[in-house]
Formats: sequence, C-alpha cells, structure tokens
Amino acid sequence: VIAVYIICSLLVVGSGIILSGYVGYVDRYLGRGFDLDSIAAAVVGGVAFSGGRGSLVAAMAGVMLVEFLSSWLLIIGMDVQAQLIIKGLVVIGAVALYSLAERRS
Amino acid sequence: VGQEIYREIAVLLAGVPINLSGCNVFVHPYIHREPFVSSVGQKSVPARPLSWSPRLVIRRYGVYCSLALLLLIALVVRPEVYRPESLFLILRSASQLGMVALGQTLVMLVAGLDLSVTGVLVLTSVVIAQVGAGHKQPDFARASDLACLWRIDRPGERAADHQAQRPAVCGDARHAGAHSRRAERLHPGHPQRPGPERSESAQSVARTAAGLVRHLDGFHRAAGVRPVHDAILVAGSTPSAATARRLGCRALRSTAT
Repeated sequence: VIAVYIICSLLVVGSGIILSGYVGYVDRYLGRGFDLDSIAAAVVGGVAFSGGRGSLVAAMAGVMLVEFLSSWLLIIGMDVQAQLIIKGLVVIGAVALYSLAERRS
Repeated sequence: VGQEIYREIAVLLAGVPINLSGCNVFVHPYIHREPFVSSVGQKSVPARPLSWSPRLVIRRYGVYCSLALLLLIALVVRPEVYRPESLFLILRSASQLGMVALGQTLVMLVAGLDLSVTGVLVLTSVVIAQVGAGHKQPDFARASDLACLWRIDRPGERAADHQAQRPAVCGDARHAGAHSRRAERLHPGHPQRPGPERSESAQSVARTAAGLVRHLDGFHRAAGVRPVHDAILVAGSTPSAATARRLGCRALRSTAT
C-alpha cells in the first residue's frame, strides 16, 4: 500500500515538472483541483471507491473525458462554478451508472 | 508464478485479461474470469462464460461510449475544436492530469485516496522553478504577486498588442490587503499602465503575466473562438465589481489556471 502511494507521488512529481514547464509560472494555486479531477477521472473510468475494481486504460479514457469536458466548457465560456457543478454531475452520473450496473445483475 | 505475473500485468493494463505469453502454454481457466480480483494465494475458480449483458458492457465500455458520445456532441455543436492545434493543446494539458490520475487509480485500487496530490504537485513546481532559476533566494512574494488581474483580448485587438500591453495589477477579493495596497502603491491610479518606475516585483509580475496571456491567447487562437472574457483572474478567485470597473472591463470571469 505504501509502495502504491509512493508510486503515485512519483507520478505526481513528474506531472508537476511538466506542468511547471508548460505553464511557465509557479503559484501556490497551480495544482488546485488536480486531486479532485484525478479522482473524478478515475471514478469515471470505473475505479470503485472501495478498491479492487478498475483499470488504468479506462482511467485514461476518463482523463480524456474530464479534460475534454472541462476545456470545452472553458471554450464556450462557462464560469468556474458552473464547470465544477458539471464535473460533479458527471462524477455522480458515473457512480450511479456503475452502481446500477452492479445491482442489475 | 509466471502466469500469475503475466495475468496481473495484463489485467492492470487493460482491465481485460489478455494472454500475454503469446502462445497457449499459459492458458488457464482463471484467465477468463472477470477482472479484477487480486488472486495471489487464491485457488483458481472455473471460468464464467463471457456474456454481453448490459451490466458488463457498461462496466467495461461505459467510459469509451461516453467519451465517444461527448466527441460526437462536440462535433455537432462546435466543430472548430477539432482543429489539430486545439486538439494538441487539450492533449498536452491532459497529459498532466493523466499522470496524476494514473497514480490516483493505483491508490484507489487498494481502496485509498491520495489527497496530497495538490500539495506534492505545487511543491514540485516550486522546487523545480527555483532550481531552474539558478538557486536564487526564494522569492515567495512573487508567487502571491501572481494573484493579479490581467486584461486579455478585447475583441478587435490584435494578439500582438498583448505582449506590449502592461499588466493590470490589482488585488482581488481573496488577496485583499497587503498585495492590493502594494499594487496601488506601485501603480497609483493607473492599474493598466504602470509607470516607468516599476519595481523588481512589478517587473516579475509583468513577465509572468505576459507569459500567461500568451498562453491563453494561443489557446483561444487555436480553438478558433473569440475569448468570451475581458479579463482572466489568475488563481481563480472571485472578482468583485469594483475591480472590474477599475479595469474598465465589461465582465470578469475567473478560471483555474
């Protein structure tokens, strides 16, 4: 379990390097929302909160979904608040869908 | 043991068991079981027949289906997002979230949640920035100076004008107090056009903010849309109507980064 956390932190370190190089400035609000976005992406990708179910490729698809969604919401000019609401709705919908699919069997 | 390792890797990578050994030497009934149960030390159970119940489809392919649905909707509603530079921008910003989500997925697979992602990310960025700046004395004021307002892209202005444009530094609601007072002192009365007597701090703000504007500008140009906001509030705090009036903006919107 500790190894998994360490791997996660190493990946985040790599991500932070890329992000700071890409954006070109550093700020203490730089990674704001990254934790919740990553959780959202994993949940949309079908990883259960209780663990033990999910896959990395599906989580990557979830990342693409969340990222496309948020950037398009930005393009069409929604507020940050509205973007957060829509992201939350997407996560709720994903969890509901997965749990419905579980129960239907 | 080799089969177990292959199977774990395959399930971890694809979520679907694949026979990675390339031949049928390692074929085992367990391989065709539903993922994902860590099975080290378990007895193998007989295979379940592969079925196409909706439950299985949703669980395995729901993400891909909804992603395709989203892409289709975007294709219908706003086809200009399919320009290649726009797609590359989105992919590039997805790579960072992708790495974070990769680690987060691993943590969630063992029934945990890593909430330290933000902190580690910011710490890494700051350390990298300082290392890249040549081991200089850390300038913590610089980071919070970035909580400044920046006018961007009124319709009709050319993109090249923004690089020449001076930063509009002013405090926002969250950083009211020292920084706004300092900004006022630096640029009294003329937030958009700071005078030639700008201090080192104001210059650093100008540099970073100019970089940010170039970044956002490229984003908008690549997306092929007119930016909808007159000002972008860095650090995502809530702009007040007073600052909007002071900057002469019609509307203020805030964005995360």
